[in-house]
Amino acid sequence: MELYWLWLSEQKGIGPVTLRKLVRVFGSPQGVYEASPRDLEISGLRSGLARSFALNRSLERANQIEEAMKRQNVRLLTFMDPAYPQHLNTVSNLPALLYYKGIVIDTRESVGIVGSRRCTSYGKQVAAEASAYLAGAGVTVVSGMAKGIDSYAHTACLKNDGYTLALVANGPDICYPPENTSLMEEIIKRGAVVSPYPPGTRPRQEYFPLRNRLLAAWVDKLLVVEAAERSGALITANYAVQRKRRVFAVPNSIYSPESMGTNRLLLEGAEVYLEPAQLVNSGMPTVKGTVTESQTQVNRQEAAAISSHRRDEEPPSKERMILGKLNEPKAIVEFLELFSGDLSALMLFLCQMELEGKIKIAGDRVERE
Amino acid sequence: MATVVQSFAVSGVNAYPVIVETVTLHGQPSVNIVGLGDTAVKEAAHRLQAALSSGHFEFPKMKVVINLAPSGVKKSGSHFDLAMAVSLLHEAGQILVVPEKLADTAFVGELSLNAELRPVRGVLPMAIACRETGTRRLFVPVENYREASLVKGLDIYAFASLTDVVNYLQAKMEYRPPELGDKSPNETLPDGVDFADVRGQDVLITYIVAAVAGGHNILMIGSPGCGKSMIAKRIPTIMPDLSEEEALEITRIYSITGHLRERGSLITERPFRSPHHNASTNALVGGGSPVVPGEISLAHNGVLFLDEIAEFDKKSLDALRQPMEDKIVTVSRVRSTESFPANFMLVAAMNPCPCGYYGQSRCRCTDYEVLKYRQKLSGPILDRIEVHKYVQPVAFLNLSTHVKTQSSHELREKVQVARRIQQVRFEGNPNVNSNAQMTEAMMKEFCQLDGESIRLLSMAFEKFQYSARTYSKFLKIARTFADLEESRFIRKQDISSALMARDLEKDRSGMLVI
Repeated sequence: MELYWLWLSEQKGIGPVTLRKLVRVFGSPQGVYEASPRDLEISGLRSGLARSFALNRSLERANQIEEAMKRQNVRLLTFMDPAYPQHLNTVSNLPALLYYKGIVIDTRESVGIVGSRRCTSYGKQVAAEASAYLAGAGVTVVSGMAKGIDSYAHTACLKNDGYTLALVANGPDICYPPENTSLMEEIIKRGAVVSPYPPGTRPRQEYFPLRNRLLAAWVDKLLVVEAAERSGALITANYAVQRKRRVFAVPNSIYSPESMGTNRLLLEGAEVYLEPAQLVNSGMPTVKGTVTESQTQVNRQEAAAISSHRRDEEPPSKERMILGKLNEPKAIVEFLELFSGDLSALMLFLCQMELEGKIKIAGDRVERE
Repeated sequence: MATVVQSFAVSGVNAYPVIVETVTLHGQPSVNIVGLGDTAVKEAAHRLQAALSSGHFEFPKMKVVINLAPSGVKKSGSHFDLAMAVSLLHEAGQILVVPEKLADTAFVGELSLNAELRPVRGVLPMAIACRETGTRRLFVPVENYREASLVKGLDIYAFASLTDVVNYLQAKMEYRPPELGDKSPNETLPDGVDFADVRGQDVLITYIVAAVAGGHNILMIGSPGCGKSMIAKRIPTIMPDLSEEEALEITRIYSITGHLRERGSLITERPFRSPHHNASTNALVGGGSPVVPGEISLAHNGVLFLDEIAEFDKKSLDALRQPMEDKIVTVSRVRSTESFPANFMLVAAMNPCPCGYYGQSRCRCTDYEVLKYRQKLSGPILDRIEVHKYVQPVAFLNLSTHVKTQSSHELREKVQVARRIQQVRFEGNPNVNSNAQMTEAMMKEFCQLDGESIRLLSMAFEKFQYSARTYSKFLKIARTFADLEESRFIRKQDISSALMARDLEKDRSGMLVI
């Protein structure tokens, strides 16, 4: 059965639209394979095409792909499979055949998170927070497994026991970029890597637009975290707008080159992203409390126990004074006068604040968590 | 009968006596130097002929055989020249010396073609060997006089030329020791570097002081130009004063490698070595033929600064593991095995990420790239570096608001206090003399924690997911912080200070990678 699907997908001159139509007319790809040129012509195929079909009965290429799929443990998702997202069938030019590794479930709400490969720490934070939230809310996180925002979104989702899909522009057996090898393994274990391209296909520039269109159509909502003026993320966002998907863009400085694209999206009417709850359907219960969150909760309780102890000795104003000054990262020594020059007392105080999750210390620099 | 004169050869950091025997035989005039000498030794034949003729001596027109005993050991260097010349002249009957006088004298020095004496390497270990073998007198070139005089209980005779040596031996000349130029033994530090010049890095300096005090190695991670090298250069200035024994150890190594810049003066400052990151493994740990000490031995009792440590060859760095543990490095070759002392403090510096600006807004490195870059430093090496601190560039515009900087002198006082406490603590443990070297059992004894400290530690472990082996590092560093403030017990502020000493691992928990 699969063999004929592969044969059909490799035929020249027919796109996803015709393919869907033919399979519907003849009941199955095998039916198409066995049909006579006359039958094909009756079903609406151009006569030239119908004749070339009849001449192209070789299953060699299809056999090759099937073998590669077996070797690489790649599976086929056709538009007739129940797991195939049915809303993709309403879009004329999306692939009717997908190759995947892992587990595909399509009963869930899904949100795409895309963004710059060279992202800032702000972008990382936003992507990770949103993804972790979605994972906790039982929403599928869909992204492209590229460097930067994409891989942060996948990683944060997996770390919070969520389900994630990676739509890639190469065969699902190839890891691109190679640095994501272990991430890809993990996605395959607990999600899926999906591709419109058969196994063995190396990524090429011209393959990416199709992947982007697929992603835009697949998801219910799209979050664009950071995107430069002309970037893949922006292209995906434009497709999503065409597909009438809700597009959220993360606001950022107008001077940051990574935010030129997202800020422009906002100008063109994308929704302003302020918190992850926006990404979940209002009807859905907003389940808060992911794994990390509940852990921090425990930490906070413990921390409170210690800090209440500490507050007996120190007036509580010190903590507020420190936090008040931390609208930007500050050097530790700038708080020395609060402790009348006692560096080790200051460091103890800051260390406790850090363990309570209020601040972050890196070297001699303090910033808000 | 052959004339026998004493000299020395260097092996490792030690010298051993070499007997120079010369005989003149009837036969075709020729000079043969036997006893496994290298090219420098073989070429002495020509130097001898030239020097003898310019010194108005006559080179015997006979077959001359010079033997360097023990003959089965390879020898190298040009310092046998003087001994060969003296024994040859004596054998040829051109100088008359009482044999007892000759037996009680050793000769070291290179000859110029004009019969002048030139300075040589390794005079200090040779003088030490001379004293050990019981030879009373050592003849050296003038330039080596100061170096040889470091060894007490030995009569050092320094001469400028072969003619002077011969004249003195024949009692035709009075010996007058050369003037030792005025040189105060306690010079100011080189280039006058001082921690008072470092501004706005007070927190980092606290950790530097702790590292020096507790014998911990330190890794500074920071963007280019944030002051890592500037700080590293000043670390020797806060280390405790060198003891005479330590100074002699250093001088001995420098004597052998020919690094003794002002020939003769005892090295009184702790060495600071910063090999470039393309240094070969042998250049770092020692090697070559004959085997010479490497950078880690040149940094003995001082600081070995590896700038851009991530760029060093992984194999070279891994070669540092054993010496860092044992404080001594053993270089084995087919023909010889030498041990050199290598008790150094490792100070390393690296960039935090490929672009160098991690943590600043301009950095666009992904977490994977950052971790990959840091993995260039192998686990075992990282494991031997207790303190990892981020160095931030100084906001030099608001420097004036900071507390006054501390001078190297003040910081050294602190270090010495902590060192004294450790000396008392580890008395009777010859292998342990600092907190960094504590064994598990010692940590149980000296690193007791109160309930609050334990709670602080366990919170940190939960939050930052430290590994179990990090635990003992925290204890050791906390012990040092307590020592610096002369506290008998580890207090919670010591633990919190120690917790902030492992920036790299703390960061690891925040990385979003699988």
